[in-house]
Amino acid sequence: MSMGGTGGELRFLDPAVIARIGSMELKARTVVEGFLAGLHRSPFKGFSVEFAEYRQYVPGDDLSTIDWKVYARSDRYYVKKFDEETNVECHVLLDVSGSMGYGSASVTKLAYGSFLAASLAYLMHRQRDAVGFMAFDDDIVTHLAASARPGHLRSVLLALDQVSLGRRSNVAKPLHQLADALTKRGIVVLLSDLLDEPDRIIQGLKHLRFRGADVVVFHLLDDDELSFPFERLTRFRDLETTDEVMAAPLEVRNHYLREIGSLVSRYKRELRLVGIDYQLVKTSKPLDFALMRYLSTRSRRH
Amino acid sequence: MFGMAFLMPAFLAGLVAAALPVLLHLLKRDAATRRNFSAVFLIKRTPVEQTGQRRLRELNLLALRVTALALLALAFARPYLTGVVAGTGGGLTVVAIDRSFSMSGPGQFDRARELASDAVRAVRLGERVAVVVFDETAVLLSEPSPERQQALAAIEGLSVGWGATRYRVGLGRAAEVIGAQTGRIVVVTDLQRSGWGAGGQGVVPDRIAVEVTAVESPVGNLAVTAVKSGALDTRASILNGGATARLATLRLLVDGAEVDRTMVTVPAGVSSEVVFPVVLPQHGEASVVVEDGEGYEADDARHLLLVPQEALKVVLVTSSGDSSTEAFYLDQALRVAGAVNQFEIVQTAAVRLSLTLAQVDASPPAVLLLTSRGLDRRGLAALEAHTRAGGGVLIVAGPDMEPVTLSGLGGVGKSVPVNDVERPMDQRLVPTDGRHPIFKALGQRLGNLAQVRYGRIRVLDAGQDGRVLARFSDGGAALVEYGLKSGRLLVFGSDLDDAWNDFPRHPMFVPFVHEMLKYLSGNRREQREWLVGEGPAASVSLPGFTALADSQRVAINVDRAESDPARMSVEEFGARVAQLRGAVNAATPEASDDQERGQGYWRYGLGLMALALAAESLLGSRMD
Repeated sequence: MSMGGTGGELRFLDPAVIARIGSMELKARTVVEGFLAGLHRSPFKGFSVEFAEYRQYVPGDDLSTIDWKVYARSDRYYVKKFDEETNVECHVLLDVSGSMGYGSASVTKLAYGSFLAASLAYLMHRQRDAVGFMAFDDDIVTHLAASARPGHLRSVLLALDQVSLGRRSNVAKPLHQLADALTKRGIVVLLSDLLDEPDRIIQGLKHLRFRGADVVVFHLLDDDELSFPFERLTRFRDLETTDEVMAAPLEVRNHYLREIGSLVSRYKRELRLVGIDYQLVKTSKPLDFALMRYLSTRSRRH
Repeated sequence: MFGMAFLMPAFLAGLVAAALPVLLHLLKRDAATRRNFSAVFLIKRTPVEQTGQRRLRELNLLALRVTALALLALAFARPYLTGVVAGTGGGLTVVAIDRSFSMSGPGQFDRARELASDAVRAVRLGERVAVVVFDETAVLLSEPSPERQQALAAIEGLSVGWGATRYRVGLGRAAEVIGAQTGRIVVVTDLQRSGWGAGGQGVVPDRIAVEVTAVESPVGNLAVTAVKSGALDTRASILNGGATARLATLRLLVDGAEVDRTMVTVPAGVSSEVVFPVVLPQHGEASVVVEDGEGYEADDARHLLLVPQEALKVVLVTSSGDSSTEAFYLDQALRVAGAVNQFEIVQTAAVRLSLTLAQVDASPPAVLLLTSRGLDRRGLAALEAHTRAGGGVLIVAGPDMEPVTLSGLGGVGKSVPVNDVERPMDQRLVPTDGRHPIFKALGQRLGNLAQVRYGRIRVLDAGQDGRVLARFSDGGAALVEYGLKSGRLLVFGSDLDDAWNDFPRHPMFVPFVHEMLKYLSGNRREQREWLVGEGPAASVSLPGFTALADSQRVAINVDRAESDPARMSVEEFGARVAQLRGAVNAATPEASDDQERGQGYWRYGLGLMALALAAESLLGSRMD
């Protein structure tokens, strides 16, 4: 699947440009609209909501579900019931641990992840999917349950607007918690740099997969983390632990690149084995690539 | 006791070069930048360990380079151990016997001979023994020999002398006899404290052991330490060196005949003045004698040669010619009691200097040039003629002295490079040669000169012709004597009034000025009193009156310091010997050279340096 946009449209998908746009909602809209405008012929038409029945209102029902036209005709309160409230329940998991604060250019991994999460949420909402959001470091920082209600997107985007860097990573923990809480199958999108113990992360993702969720992993890495371009003697300070290590980059570069390469290869290999979509995302790349990946996964469910 | 010394310690300055690798390392090293990073745990896995190892190797490399340079410097400094005994067996024992007059108490020297003989007999068979006797001088009485009888015979014929104790002289001579060998010195002495006072030089290397065999001192001693002839009476000082007060009977003799007798009670350990109501004649020989059956015989009499004194003429050159206002302190220093008869002040203005010098009688006076104001070419020429005639000149380079004017001083002026530079600072004056007649006469008070504060000084350049007699504490010349074919020329680099310093208000000012003037006058006032073995009376070994080679009669007295029988402990004596050992390295280069050559540690230093360089090459190649 290719993206066929003009240069002008592509510009709005550049994370550096997106970073300069005001609110998260506007960012998300800009990204998604720009993305969708670039599609020649979208196979993703959206999904209808199937009406099931009217039911007499009982205290506790959501007032927004009352059909006022029926009330006008019959002077009775009825609420509309649907077979499915939403088409698909989508959960966006954003890693806000300290390591996500790294960014060699103008955009940190956290900012990039936020844009992407907002765009995905916007896209999901536009397709009438229920959107849930979870921000985590070594614990769950923010959790909004999945919902397709019109105002929910605003809540998600507001939450995304307010995320800040957290503490140390523990990616596996929210994955297990979410897997335990899942009541029905859906899509789980993980946005993280996965700089944690790979075994535990893979176990957590397998847990989600076991519960029937389609899992998409966006492995967010900065260019520096992939190329290690440093040259002068440097005292590297860990963003999460504040540990410091003195290293001559020219001496350690080959070892480092081998390590990061093997880490990426391992995620790619082991996650694909269990049917998890894994995508390495460089934070210097436009956001559309990740959106396309999501839609690809979404389409497989129908 | 072992210690490390260096034959050529100047090379230790090369140790500074050892800091070069460290310095280069610090200068050339990359300053580590600090950077926040996310995947530090990936860096930590293996590469960091290797970096750490490399860093360790770099530090080792640095240490090896520093070590190599340090070893090179140490090897060139030629180290040696000072406490190493050069050999074993065949040692030489030198018995050093104190024969100063403080050993002349009743039965004292007999005991000394006895103890010295015992020391000789105690020498192991086959080992050599020598005998040295000392007071102010030291004499090898018996050459080193395994024959003990020779040494015993020498001791048997020994008698006490009239000189003062000089332990440094005795120990130094004994150490010379032992030379570079192993040996020991047995000192037979009364442990008199004054024996370690000023005078005498000598060193004792570590390889020579020093033992002390002490002779008891007399219970008490009465000594006549000074005799002064006054205008109204005659005064004598008598010292009671014992632990109890003594009733002393003193007699005043003139030309051998008793003219007065008096009795006085002298408290223990103090000196008392005795007044004889007798005016001594201007010519003759006077002596004061005390009857003392307990102490030393040599100090029982003090002798004074009676000769008329001629006052020294001193020309004080000031701007106006009124020294009482322009050179107040100098003027007063020459008029104080005791100096009235010694100096005759001739005041003159600088403009009239040539006339004044022409009017002064034939005996060249001392000229104190305090100003250059009004000093014309004739005055300068007169000064030059004055020095040519054997006169003395003191140029006081104080605030009234213009160096430019002095440049016209002809042959003298060329030798007086008084720079027109003044340095305001708090300076002290330190004599460079205590043996110079000016300072020697000040005796033990010499150190007090350092108490004077000089707020302003003149920079003097001694040049090749000048001899610096005293320096200021910053190293600049303070008192310079310029070598002339005849006459004497001194330049003082500050003021002798109270403009630039507080010297005139210091107790040392008067004696310093007096001694300087006496020196400038060429000491024409003949010295008529000498100590036993001193100066032209060196060949005279008995106190009393004698005629020198030029038929001039002089009085010979003993050193008054020797009259005090105060003793020190053997431990204190040992401590003093240890001080002599401390100076041995600087004082005996030949012995040090021998010792260093015998040990040859420099070879090991160079060997270790080669090893360090080899290791450095190996380690460096592994890092590439």
